[in-house]
Amino acid sequence: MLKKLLFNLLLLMVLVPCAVLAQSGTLTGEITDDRTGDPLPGVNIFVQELERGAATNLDGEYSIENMPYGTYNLRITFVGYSTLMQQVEINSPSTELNIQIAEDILGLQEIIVTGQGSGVERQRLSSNVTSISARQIDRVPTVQLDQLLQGNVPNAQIRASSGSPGSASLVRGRGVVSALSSTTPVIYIDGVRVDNTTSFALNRSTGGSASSALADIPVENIERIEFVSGGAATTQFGSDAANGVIQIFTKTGVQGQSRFSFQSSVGSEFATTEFLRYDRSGDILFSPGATQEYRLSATGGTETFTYSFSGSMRGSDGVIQPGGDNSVRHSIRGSFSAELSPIVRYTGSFGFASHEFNRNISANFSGSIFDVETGSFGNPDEWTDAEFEDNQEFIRTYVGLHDISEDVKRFQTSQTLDFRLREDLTARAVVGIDIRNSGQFFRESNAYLIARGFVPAGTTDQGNLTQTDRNFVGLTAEASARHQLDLGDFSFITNVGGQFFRNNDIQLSLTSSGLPDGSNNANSGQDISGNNFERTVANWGVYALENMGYRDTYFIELGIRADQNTAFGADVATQIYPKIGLIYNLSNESFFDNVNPNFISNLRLRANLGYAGNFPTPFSNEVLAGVGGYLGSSYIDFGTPGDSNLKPERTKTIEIGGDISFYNDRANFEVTYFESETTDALFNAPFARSVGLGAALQNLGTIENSGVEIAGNFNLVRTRDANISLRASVNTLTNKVVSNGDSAPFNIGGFAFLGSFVDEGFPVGYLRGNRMVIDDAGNVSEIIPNDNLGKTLPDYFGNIGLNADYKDLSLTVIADWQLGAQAVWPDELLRFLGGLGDDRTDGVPAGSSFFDFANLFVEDADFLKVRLISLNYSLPTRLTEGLFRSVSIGATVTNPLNFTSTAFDPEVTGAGIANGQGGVGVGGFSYRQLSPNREVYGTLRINF
Amino acid sequence: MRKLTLALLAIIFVYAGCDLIDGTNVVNPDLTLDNAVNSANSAESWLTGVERRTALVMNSFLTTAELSTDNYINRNTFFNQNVDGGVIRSIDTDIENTNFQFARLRNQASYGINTVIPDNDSDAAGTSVEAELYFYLGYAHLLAAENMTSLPAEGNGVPQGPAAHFDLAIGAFNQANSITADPSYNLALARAHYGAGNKDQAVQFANAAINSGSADFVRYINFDGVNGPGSTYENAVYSRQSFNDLQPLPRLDFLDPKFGDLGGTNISPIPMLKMEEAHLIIAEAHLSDNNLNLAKATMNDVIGLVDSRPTRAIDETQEGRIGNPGFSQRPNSAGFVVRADPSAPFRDGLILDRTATTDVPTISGTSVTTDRVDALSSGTDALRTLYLLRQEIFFGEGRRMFDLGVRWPVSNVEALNNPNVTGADTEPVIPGYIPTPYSTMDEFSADFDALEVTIAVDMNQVIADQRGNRFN
Repeated sequence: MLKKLLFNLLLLMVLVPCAVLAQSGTLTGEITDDRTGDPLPGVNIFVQELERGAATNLDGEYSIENMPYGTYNLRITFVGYSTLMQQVEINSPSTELNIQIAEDILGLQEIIVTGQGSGVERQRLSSNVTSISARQIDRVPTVQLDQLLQGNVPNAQIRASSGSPGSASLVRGRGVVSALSSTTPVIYIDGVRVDNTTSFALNRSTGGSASSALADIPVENIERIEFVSGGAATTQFGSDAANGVIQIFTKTGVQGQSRFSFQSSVGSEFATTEFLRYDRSGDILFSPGATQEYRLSATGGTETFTYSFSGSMRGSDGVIQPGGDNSVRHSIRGSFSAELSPIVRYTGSFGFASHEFNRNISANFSGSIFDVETGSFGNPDEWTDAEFEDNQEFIRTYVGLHDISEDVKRFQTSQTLDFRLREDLTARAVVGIDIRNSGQFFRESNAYLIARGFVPAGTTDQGNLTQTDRNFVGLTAEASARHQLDLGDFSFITNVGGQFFRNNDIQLSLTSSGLPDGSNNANSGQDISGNNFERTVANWGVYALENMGYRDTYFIELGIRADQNTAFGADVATQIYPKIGLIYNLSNESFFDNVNPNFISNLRLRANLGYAGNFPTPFSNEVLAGVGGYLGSSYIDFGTPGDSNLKPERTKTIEIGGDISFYNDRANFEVTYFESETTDALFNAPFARSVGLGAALQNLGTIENSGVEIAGNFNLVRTRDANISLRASVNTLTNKVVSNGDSAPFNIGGFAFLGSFVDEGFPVGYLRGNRMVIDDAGNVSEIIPNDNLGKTLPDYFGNIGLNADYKDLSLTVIADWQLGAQAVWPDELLRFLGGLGDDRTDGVPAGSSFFDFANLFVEDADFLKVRLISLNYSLPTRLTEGLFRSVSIGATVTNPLNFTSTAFDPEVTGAGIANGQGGVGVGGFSYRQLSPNREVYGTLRINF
Repeated sequence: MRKLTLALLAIIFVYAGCDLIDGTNVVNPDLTLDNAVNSANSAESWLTGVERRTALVMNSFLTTAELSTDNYINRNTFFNQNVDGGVIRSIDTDIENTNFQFARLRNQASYGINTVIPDNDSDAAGTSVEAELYFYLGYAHLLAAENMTSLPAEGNGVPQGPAAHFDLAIGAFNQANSITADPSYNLALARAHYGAGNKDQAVQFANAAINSGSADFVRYINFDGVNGPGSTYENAVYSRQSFNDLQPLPRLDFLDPKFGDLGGTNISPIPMLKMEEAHLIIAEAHLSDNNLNLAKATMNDVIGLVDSRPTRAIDETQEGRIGNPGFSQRPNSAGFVVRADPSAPFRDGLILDRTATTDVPTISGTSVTTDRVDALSSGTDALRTLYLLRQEIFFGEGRRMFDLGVRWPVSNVEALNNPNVTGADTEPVIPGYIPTPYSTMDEFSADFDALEVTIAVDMNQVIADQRGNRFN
């Protein structure tokens, strides 16, 4: 009996697995877009019961093997699409299930990482996070990050500082929270903090065109970009994030056979000449140039290994001939991801960018190309043809001889290990670096000096050159763990982690004079001198974040970050940044079922309070000596006065907002009111002059920003053949220095006659100068010294984006606008001084100092600028079948239309981009700058 | 036990290894003030810093100071525009910077005397290093005394008027002089006493300077073309060529640009003290004593000294003499004759040919000849001529403001930070004899056919007629 029982058991043990083996099947299928029917690569299909899944290949196909017969719940997730739960029954060796998924217009199920420690569904967040998908990125063909963000981030302003190569925009989210540091958010690529400096200390200025590290961040191969302009979502980043955070996530590839994509763009670029005063200036200075760009990308992989690669090169002749602003870029980015074991996945991404370009001289620098606009060559409208030709010959000769170039090489990598310790417990370790080396070369040859008339013809030993090298190395390391707990109606996501970063910035500048022509070697000069600059900072902190949910309806966010930083004073304790957020998804309430979705289809309310900081300028915490050389001897002087209590400025932000959708999500609005207060604001305010010490960085001020951010997304047409969506945003901004801590006002930019100042009761960087009041009789009734002449921050701003697709045709339009800001036009002042001024100075008594009528050169700076119009057509597959998977052709024009309240470009700014390295810049001085060029190009894209 | 040992070993290795990856160690490449002044011979390096500071003081002060007078006019540049028209405000950033630089020079010199030498480098006590620090302390007060309505003599202190600063300057110069002898200390004392109106002491130290054995003594403020600071003033009057160029009064044209290209990275130094001043002080004292003949003899002495000073060929063909507004042509050739006011005789040789390389004085120049001096018959004429000599000899050295009696105020930033500052401190001093409008001082009319230039007002005549002798 026992034997029999044992036998039967044995038989059962043998047979059951056989039965199981016999009773498993394979699930296959295709996942497509529910509207267009396009196959979607990279979609995740997760079998909840089996705790495993697969991803679709490049044809949108998936396959999951060894599924025992039974009923399963599949969770289908894909960036930009609504998560879909689908049940499937496996009862045969082969089951096919084709699935259609729908675009997630609201993005509530979109996974957001920024500020959360790990991916969290948007619906659980109290913050306003902008996410830009790869598909949207593809619609904006650009090679520069700031241009990519322009028009895609509804609640931030991205204002071009200059059209010169290598310069980048002022990126400004929620006003100006600091009177010390640039408004540029910190930037992370695959979890690694990268150089975001918009100007550097030893930069050899060419008149306002500061070299920006934003200009060469490789924008290849991007999966998505997240942008947070401040508030509670930045608390996770502690002492480094009061200006917001940009996170870039790169593609890691899609499983399947390798696929390639080749793209070629060829076009022309033209100077934006409508802001010139004289047509003939444009004729002299500018000629159209050619542009060309080639891009190759590849992706593929297996179940355990995927890769993605993209490389591009771009050449631009520029518009200032000869060779005044040409550039060449090369860029490569590769990422791969490998499953090392069932619990460990490794992801590595590597990016390299090379950017070589020439510059011209702008603003009031000797040799400025804009001299022709401001009277140095008389009135261009009155030139004879012969004078025109002479001036053209003269100017083009010296522009051609002026050798100003820059060469940037940048390498950036991120190495990530993901541990799936349990279904509910994951951990991640990231380490990475960003190395950016830029070399500037500024040379005035004897030939140049002769051409300018500075030295007599025949001079051979008066040339000079300046070489400046900047080496930036940024290191980031972060370790974090995430625990997810679902208890019926309650869900908890806990993230804890620690982050460290360190920036080393070393700059060297070498000037050699008395050079013969033909030598680019500083050693050939008669006098050689050097200068260096070093700035190092390390920051380390830990954070804990908790996201609690109840029935997907109520959520509470809690978080805390503790930071230390080498720039803090010796007496400063660890800095603590807390946050709390509340979310109420009304549309998940049962009573909401009674609301007609044609009226309100979605409604959620959110509020939060969070802190973030900006650490002080490194080394400002120590009492330093000024030491150097003077006439062959070493000298000692007072240096930075130092402050051992120097701590980060802290920005507290309160956000209250809601997201509401109408008409079955066809019209969606995100509305947020924010109020931020920066306390202990770092002011470089002067002491009493009698103290005889330079300004010291101190925690003195209080700055407030508040505003309403409204972003609307309207799906105007949505059929199988056509999809038209319009994005538009309106933002208001009020900025004020509430307290200057009893310090005197101080200058952060501009000119002696009209500067950009920080003072109590006024916006950061308000325009201060003397105002001449002329009465009705035409007499000067009053001159008001140091009057408030305006502000450079707009009252209202926003952007507009149109995506219109019809069958295989797609159109993208991006525009942005501002109202209520002012800007200064020093060009007109120069023309006035040259006797070519317009009627604004009528009534000014002869002999008056222009310092006393500075107000006449300030104008309202309202604008609407269309940044890009791009049309793309995908060729019918029947034409390309057998040759290529798909082919598309496109035509793009950048900066086609500018509508401005000013005769000058109110956006470009020479004197307002930054106040020293990484310093605050509020723009507002349109001083003889090149506006961004207008490009027209055609694109051919082949997928194979 | 074995496991425990292994675990301990592992912990030790990991802990030791952490040193290799500790990224929190940040080393400031700059010296702290304590470390710097604790280095060997720090007082000498500190003194070098003070000398360098005088160059920065001049960069802040000189261009605006010259514009505040009849020496130069500026409407076409981003250099100070207001002071030209007599709008001298406490909010003026150039005036604020000068407030700062004067205080900084004082603070640096004082820190050297009171901290660096006693605490860190006592070997320098009683040496020329200490004497020089006293000299610069005095120079800081002297500049304040000559040019400012008032200024605090210490950080956040009560603003002191010119008399107090002259006294402080004299005290500091006497300290320097008591440590070691130097012609510049005597010249400085003569200048300070002159400014304070102390005739006997002024003459005493002027004579001491003359008798020091250096008949052509000049003490310069030097600039460093390699490491900086460069010269803002040279930049203003020469290096910027036709852009942002300052224009001299036509009767002073032959002196411009006093500081120009020396080639390579060399920058023209600016005289701080020179022997001419001793003679000029003595001549004014003689006039004060109504001793016209001795005054004339002394004025001829100074002309002799000036005539022995070097000149430099400067190519300013690029600059021309394009004035403003509207880039109008100013007199630009040697054919022009100029009179100092509508009642004065026309004189030639005052305007140089700006279409060719020209010779300009580098230390001192004057249009006054011994014949003109010999012909002087009245004290007033002699005083006018003496002040013309002073104007021409000190051209471009920031001395004219004191002769005109114009003073700058305490800066607005000082007033906002320092409760001791009163409203009166923040007002300029513009004597009543300065014409109205203030810019009249810079005005002239030019007849380009007859090649005649008439200056609107001769400020030296105004000084002689209305302000009078410094010692009276």
